[in-house]
Amino acid sequence: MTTEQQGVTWKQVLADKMPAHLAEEIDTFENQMALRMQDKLDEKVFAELRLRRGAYGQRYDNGYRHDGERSQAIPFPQPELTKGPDTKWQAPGMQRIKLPYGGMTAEQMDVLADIAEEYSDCIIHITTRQDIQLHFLRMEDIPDMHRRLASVGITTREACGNSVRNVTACPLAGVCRDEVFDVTGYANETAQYFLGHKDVQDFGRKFKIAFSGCQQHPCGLTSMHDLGLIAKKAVVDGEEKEGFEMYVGGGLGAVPFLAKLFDEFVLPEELLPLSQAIARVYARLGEKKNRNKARIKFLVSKLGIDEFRRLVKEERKTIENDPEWTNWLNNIRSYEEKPAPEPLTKGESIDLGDAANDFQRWKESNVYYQRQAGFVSVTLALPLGDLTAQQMRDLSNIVRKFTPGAARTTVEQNILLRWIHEADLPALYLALKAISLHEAGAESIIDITACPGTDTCKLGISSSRGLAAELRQRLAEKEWQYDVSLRDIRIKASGCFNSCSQHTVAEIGFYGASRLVGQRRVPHFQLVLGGEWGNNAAQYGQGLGVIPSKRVPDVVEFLIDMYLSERQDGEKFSAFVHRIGKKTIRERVKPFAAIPDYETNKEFYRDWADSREYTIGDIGIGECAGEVVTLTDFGVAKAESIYFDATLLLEEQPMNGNVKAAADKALEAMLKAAHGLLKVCDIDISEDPAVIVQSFRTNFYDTRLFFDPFAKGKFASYLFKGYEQRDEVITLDRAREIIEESRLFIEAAHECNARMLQSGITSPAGFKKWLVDREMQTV
Amino acid sequence: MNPERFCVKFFATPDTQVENEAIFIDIFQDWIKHRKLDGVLLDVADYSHVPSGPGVMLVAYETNYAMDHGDGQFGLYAQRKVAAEGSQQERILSLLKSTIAFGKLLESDSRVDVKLEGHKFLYISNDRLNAPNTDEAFAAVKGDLEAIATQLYPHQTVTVTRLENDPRARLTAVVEAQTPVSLEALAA
Ligand code: HEM
Ligand code: SF4
Repeated sequence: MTTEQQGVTWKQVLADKMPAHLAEEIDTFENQMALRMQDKLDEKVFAELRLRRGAYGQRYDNGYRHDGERSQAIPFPQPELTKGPDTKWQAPGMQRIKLPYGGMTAEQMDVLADIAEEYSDCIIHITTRQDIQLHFLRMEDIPDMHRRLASVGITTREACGNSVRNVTACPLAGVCRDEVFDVTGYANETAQYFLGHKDVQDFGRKFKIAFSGCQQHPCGLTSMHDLGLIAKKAVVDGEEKEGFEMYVGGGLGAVPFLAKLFDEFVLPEELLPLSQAIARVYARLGEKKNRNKARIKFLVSKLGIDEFRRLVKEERKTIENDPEWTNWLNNIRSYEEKPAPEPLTKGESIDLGDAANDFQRWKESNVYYQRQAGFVSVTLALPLGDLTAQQMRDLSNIVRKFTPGAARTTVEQNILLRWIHEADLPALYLALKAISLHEAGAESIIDITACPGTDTCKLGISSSRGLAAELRQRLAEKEWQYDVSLRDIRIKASGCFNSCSQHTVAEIGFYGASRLVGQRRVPHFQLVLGGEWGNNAAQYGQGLGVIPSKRVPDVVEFLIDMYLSERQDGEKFSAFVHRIGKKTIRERVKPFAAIPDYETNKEFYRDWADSREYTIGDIGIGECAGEVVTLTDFGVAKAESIYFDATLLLEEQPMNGNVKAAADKALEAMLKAAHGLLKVCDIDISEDPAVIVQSFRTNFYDTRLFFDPFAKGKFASYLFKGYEQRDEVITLDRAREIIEESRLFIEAAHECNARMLQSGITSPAGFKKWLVDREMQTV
Repeated sequence: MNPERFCVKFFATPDTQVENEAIFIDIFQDWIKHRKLDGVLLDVADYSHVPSGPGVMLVAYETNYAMDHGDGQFGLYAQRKVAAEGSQQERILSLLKSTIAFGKLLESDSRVDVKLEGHKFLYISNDRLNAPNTDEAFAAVKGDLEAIATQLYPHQTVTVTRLENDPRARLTAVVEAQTPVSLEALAA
């Protein structure tokens, strides 16, 4: 809490600096904390209040941590105190700090540096949605930290929770050579309008908005957002006007969706009312109970875009006029930044000395020539999105000196400095070099994006950050960041299928998975190829199979070598993947999937940057060893190859007929996996789909044996839905969706199989015994 | 004034060279597993990819210990997060003791060759509200640091000086005894 015993508090000191409504919200939260400490506020309710303020839990906060051999209880001094169900109050947590459009002023940077030092671990992490995250925080420090942020106009409100998340925008907005117009102000006004708005408090799930200045570049990633807006000009009543092309229902996550065109042209004055109408329809009709079906993409897909649009337009008519829809429009130009008229180093000659060569390389990869002649923007390539508090503080000085006073975060986990006089580049380079922020290769193959993964995320399966650090080092040794033919290749790694690193839109993507080998777990990554970062991330990649974590760097090198030697003139990586074909690539990377046994090489049984023997004990329930059966393994393995065939069908041209065939194959793959699992209950289980579905429901769904510790029955529902809809007309989108669902179902079947093996459910007798034990427990 | 949050840092000897800092991950994981130190040991955070950063860190409930490269100087940094009992002097001494214990354990680990200088350490206030980077705040802690130094370095001349740094940075004091002392000797 506040340090009241010592007289002066941040609350008093900052009273005049905090906007009143922010100050009040923080006081309220502090009171809620006090109530929770006295057990006068339910832990579930408190957890939601905490999340709405962006204060997340972190790995191990259930009070257990696996040490490689066993799960140990963490001896917190007051284990009875909780900040949510199964969440220890005293366990460190994470804070997400919202930065609309990624903008931060020098003053804000100073405060971020201060709080990272005082309350966190001196590290500031930039996220894939232009936010900032601090880790290992104490609950008691949260209110003061929020006050200090509020004093410089930053709120963490709705940084998490089922509401409007950070509104993102191209970091180059306002200076981009290709943009139609600057979207900065629109992004910020949208963020401010919806912050705490009554119509966005009752969503079934989070709602993400992104703005993009143009169609062709990915910076805004509008295709993968719940609401995407692309700047556009059109002639209305004989006059050219600025406006937006509006998209809804995109999203990554386990089952990725590309957004649908909602409106070809929305005038600025209609931007907020129409978005509000969308929010209202979503709040009213969106799924609330089943979290896994609650994103707006599911609603749009269920209703169809035409019906959804009709409902929104109806809704729009009923909303009472709100002056805040438009009262900011006249000031939109105030978002324009005013650079210093003259270069800082005008008339000086800067001697780069030994740094001249490195400066040249840096200039080639990290500098962007702005639309405004004589000005450039500079990207600071942050390793894994991290910088120290000290670097941030020193950087704020650089920002004050060389720019109009603000910088932006990027979705590639970097920082962008804008409005630099080109003539100042040598001086800027030296200033950045003095604080080690001068690394070349921004947005190159070594500038890898990674989600927090097993480092701090509770859902992490594999170490995405450990992998990214390793890849970064290995690829940099090859100097691939300077290779112009690799310029367009991005690598992104997520710790699990939730896609927080946005791996689905990378040329080379990975997400964490685990496999049982012998009696041990081996960390893996699913290889995802064919994604496209260009065109606002218009193409999602697909899985090619899992690779043991420790072989992933070899696979990346292999793929790049293959590309460099076999590509055709001017062929981009994604086109190359497409031409060679996923099937061939899959065959060629297959040798990398082999895993030596434990005695031969224990390294495979540990994850990157972690010396503990690998387990998934920290995500699910603890594990115990069991023996191995394989009938199910065979079934699930077969299912994998049927799934893969399904993905290939969608790639074939012409598409005619393949869409339905692909969906059928995806269903067949799920049935095969289910059939494999059912062998445990009945070795002679029929191949009849109806029997499989029925028997799966009884034995694996109703008994919850197939339930994922977090996603619960979500994966099983994919099979049921696929089967129920087997005779329906299949659109291309639905085919893509069922293919993704099939992959997740198979992944869940692997997990279920591993759980069964480890609980001794390896035969009909074992299964019966488990059922009986289970009933005894529930009686 | 008795701040709860502050840090200390001991520097590595000039001849300490750690080729592969990943070894700290192994060591700290082992310590957590076998509960080798007092306190509630929680996790290992690897920041070795960040230049001049905190390196590899052992996170405990009370304190973060990091093999830190801050300001380009390698050493053992300890950040106290939770108030300990007692006066300011007792609190600082308590963090010094646990940091010395940490350092001693590390020096005795055969997997890595790290030696720390015992005769000098930084005291860093980590609370800009109660101990800002000002002369007054320095004066308020100087006496306690001198008293601690007398205990740690009996019969030695000790200086306690305020580090001249960025006014926005944290108040930092350098405590230095005249002649070298090993960490081993400090622990005794
Ligand atoms: C406590 C740790 C976290 C949990 C439990 C979590 C959970 C999830 C889940 C369940 C999804 C899938 C949502 C859906 O589409 O239905 C998701 C997606 C996503 N998360 Fe996280 N996440 C965590 C941390 C993070 C972090 C640290 C970031 C980085 C900023 C992040 C950024 C994203 C992004 C960009 C997506 C893609 C969704 C989209 O834009 O449509 N998440 N996360
Ligand atoms: S992708 Fe998975 S592991 Fe990574 S942050 Fe998201 S939920 Fe966590």
